[in-house]
Amino acid sequence: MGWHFRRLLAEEEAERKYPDRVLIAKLIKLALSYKLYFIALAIATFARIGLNVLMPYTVKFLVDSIVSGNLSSLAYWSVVFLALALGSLIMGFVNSYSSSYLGNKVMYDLRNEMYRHLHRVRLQEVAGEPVGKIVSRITNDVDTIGNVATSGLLDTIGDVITIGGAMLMMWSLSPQLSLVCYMLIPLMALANAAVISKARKAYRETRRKIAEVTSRISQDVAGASVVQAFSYRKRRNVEEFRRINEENMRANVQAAAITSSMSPLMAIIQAVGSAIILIYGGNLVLQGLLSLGTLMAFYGYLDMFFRPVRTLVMFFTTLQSTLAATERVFTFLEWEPERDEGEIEEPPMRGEVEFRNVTFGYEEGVPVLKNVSFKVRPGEFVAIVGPTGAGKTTLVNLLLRFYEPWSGEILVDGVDVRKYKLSALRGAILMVPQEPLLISGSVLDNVLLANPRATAEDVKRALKALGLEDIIESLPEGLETRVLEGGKNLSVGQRQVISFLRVFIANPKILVLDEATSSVDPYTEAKLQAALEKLARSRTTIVIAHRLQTVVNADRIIVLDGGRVVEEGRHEELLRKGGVYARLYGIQLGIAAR
Amino acid sequence: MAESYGRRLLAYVARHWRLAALTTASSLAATLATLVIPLYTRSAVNILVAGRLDQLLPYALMVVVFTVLQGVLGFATNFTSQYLAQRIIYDLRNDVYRHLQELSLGFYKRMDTGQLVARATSDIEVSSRFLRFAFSGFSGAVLTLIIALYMMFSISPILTMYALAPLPLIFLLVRRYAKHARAIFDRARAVYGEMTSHVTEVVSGLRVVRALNAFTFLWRRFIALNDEYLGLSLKAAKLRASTWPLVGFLSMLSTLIVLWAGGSMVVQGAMSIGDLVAMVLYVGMMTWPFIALGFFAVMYARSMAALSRVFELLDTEPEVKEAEDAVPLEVKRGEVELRDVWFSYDGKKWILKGVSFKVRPGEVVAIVGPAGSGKSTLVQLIPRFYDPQRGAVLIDGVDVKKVKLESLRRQVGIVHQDIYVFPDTIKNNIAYGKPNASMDEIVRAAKLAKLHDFIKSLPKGYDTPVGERGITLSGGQRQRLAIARTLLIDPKIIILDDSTSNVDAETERAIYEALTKHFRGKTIIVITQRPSTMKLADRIIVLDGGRVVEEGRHEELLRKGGVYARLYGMLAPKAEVV
Repeated sequence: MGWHFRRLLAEEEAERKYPDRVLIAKLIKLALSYKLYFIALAIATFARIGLNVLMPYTVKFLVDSIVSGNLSSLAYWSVVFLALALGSLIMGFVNSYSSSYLGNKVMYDLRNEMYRHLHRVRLQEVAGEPVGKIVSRITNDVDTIGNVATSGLLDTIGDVITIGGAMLMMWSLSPQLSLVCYMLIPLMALANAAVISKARKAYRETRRKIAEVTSRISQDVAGASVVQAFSYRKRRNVEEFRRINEENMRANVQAAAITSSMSPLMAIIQAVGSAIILIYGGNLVLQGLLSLGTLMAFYGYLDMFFRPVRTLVMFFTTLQSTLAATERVFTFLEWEPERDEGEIEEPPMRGEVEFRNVTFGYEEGVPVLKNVSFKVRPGEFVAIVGPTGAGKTTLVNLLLRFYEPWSGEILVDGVDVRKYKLSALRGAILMVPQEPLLISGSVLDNVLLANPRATAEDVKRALKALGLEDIIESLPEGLETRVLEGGKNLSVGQRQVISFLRVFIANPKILVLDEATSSVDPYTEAKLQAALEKLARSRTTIVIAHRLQTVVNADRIIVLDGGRVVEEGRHEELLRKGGVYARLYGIQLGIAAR
Repeated sequence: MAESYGRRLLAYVARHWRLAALTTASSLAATLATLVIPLYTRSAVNILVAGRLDQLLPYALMVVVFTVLQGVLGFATNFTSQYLAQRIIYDLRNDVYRHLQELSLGFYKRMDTGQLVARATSDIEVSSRFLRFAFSGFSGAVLTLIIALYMMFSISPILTMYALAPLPLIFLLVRRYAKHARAIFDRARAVYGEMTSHVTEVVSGLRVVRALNAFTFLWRRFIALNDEYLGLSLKAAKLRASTWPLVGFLSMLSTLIVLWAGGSMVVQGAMSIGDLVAMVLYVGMMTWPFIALGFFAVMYARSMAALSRVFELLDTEPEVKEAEDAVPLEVKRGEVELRDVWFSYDGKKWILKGVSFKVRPGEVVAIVGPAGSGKSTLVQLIPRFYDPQRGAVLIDGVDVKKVKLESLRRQVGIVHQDIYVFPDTIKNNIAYGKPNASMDEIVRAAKLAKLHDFIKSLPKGYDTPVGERGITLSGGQRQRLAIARTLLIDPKIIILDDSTSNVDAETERAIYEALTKHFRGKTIIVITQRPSTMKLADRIIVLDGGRVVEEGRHEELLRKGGVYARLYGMLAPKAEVV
């Protein structure tokens, strides 16, 4: 978590591809996506500002009526004041709610759009990027944008109007006194700018430091078994933590000093303002050039400068990081989607797979598969074996069309895979990966992943048919057991059962299984093996095999080495041959020559 | 309960009592400065109305002086209170961390990682933020309330009553807000967290997600989370919109009442204009104390809840405790003995039921058995991660309960089943148990664990960051990393708890060959499911249902036709064919 934060901070300072004005235009377009709310928000913002600017003006009349002893005028202006306050209350409500609504709606839509896009982009786009970085685009960056695209922009405009309105009103009350007061605005802006940019840096530092504290604690908690195993390191750990903790404290204290320094700065400006109004304005009052009410109104207007100047300065200091977030979101949406130009919408029904002279590599000039050809007949059970790096997984990547071959073609039911719609192709082929995909939710949720239409009853039937009931029953709440992140509360066997159930429920024509390398206890092993045989019965099955039983029982074994098919045949045939396969098999049994 | 936690927190404050006193003093002084300003303003206005310009200057000057003073004292209060809060956070967090290092493994197995981290971070912050508020904002607010009330009463009791009428509503509004907002924000944060982990799961498993055609299902889940988050955000928005503009309105209403009613009094000659101005200024100051009071009640409850979680953690006793008269262990021979060991995690279900066996010095022993037979539990008793309820674990004839934990763990190296990789470089991960190890030693350990070639293939080699901060290692690579980590400390007794299950068979064999060769003469205990590994052992101990059921060499056990033969005979069905 902590490190992730660090990366975000580094990115704030990274260089950008788009100029500011393009990004700002994009933000404005986003804000306009809910026109009605936007209009309501705009009206409420400006109305509220208008009312607020008028408020000190009525105070002037109130005070003047008091000084002149005019009770009916006092009553009149009191009612006006009350009306303005009520109006401001209503506008305040509309303003506050519609700006939240707009911001949240924009975030909601943007997130949905990005999530949908995530499911469509080419895997190559995602492959190069750390997971955390992609996730933060959909979460943190969207938050930043949502806030700024809506209320942020309007508030900024509103602040400008507030300051302008207040200046105008002051001018109409007393040009002389206003001119003197205007001089305070650049003073405030300067003071704010000095503090805010420093404070931002200081806060960034505190975030960095607390991230270190958090990450240190969480790694020691998550890695408690290691920490305990080497518990003699305790003193060192405590000392290391004390140092991190102290740095965090220092950073925070420094940030506190900077932000606190705002209050005397503002106080001095306020004092100067008060002094000007009292002494210079008082003078004017005495000379009869100004009423006492006007003097009071000036106090009110002076107050009106403080907040808007501050937020304006804040807006401009955070603008760059906002634009950086905007760019990250929009470049994400520009990632190229997978090509899906096929026209056949019916999934293949027979389950025949053929690789015809396929050559492919991930990097230019480095082929992983070299002119590979083989054919798997419908209903056949084929095992693919070979040393690490032989290209076994790449075969699967091509069959499912995650990548396109450099040359040659891949046919399913005699038709080039490019001619199927992706959904049709992938609907007919189901992959059981080496490490099953587990999402947080119940075990049942995980089983239904590939076919949400199935019911719990279907799953129970499948469990029975595959003879795997007892492995799931050993879970505390059976199918309803919650799966923790990455399935850490499930055994390897239990995870594999989930994968198998998915296949049974989705009932694909072709099953591609990348066997798990990790070993399970013999009982579970036997169960899984039996279940696999049942699964394979009514469909074409291609197994990237790591286990003896699978290989021994296969209809045919294809041996891959260095990107080529080097041997092919049944278990006994290949053993007799004494080639690559015989060597691999020997190692696994632990009977190779020592 | 809350009372005593509060008192314990105060003990932390007491360590910095000077700072606390300074904070309080400056907060009160700042409040006083603020409260004095209307008095001088009143005089200034009265002078203005009376038209005596020559007397205006000193009063105006006083307003300026006190305004600046208020600002400077405000700075002091803000700064000292934050400093105090940070000192307390620092102390508490050090104590929590130190305690976390003492707690036993069983505790960590029961607790959720996120919750534990929250106790050491946000819970501590919540309580100290409350302290900060209590020492600076709140004390000032209370003082403001008292003095402003007194001043207003002394100017005009009737007008004060009128002016104050709307203010208690502010208190109620704020309290309602704080209460509901907290519930909404807590839930929203949880949903946001779920959304983040969902997206993380999808991104990291994107290839498989595609292969499973799982979009329909996942989309439904994502949109449900996004919907809920939107709903909560809008609920919070409504709460906010119905609170703060109303608070502003009520505050303005008070001012208006003063102006109207007070204005009438001025016109009737019952009050001076200066008094009226002072009243307006005081009434403006009253809003904040009512807001503060509203927050205080909720913050107090919240911080006490957070505090109770922190102190609960600090009060948790470690289950495995070093004896007072513990002596350093010195493993000379490396003999391990379990003598009638009974163990249960929950006190109800026995995992080990009277296990006894002896591992001779320098012997390589494999422990096998079906899932749930108690293998992992058993080996964890040797470096004393848990204590058996009955029986004893002895190393070189000495009960492990009687030795210093540090010396025990320095000499008994264990590689667990689930591997943790620190978010650090490969080098630092391997050197975890021996931070001052030389590069040569680290490389040697990595070579023994058959990880060196892989590390060399990385552009940054041993300096490659791994874990959440860097590249993701495969299950097998993680296991080999953990093995290297343990081998580096050169323990006298090595325990491998199924720690090569994700390593392919060829590499696994190479690791064990290197291990037995390099550590000849050392005691090695291995839990495994693979026959190829079992064959390397001098002796195999078969565990079933928490008991030792068979013992012997691979061939002997197969011939015997018992549990072992039943379990592992079928693993290599056609072994004879070869």
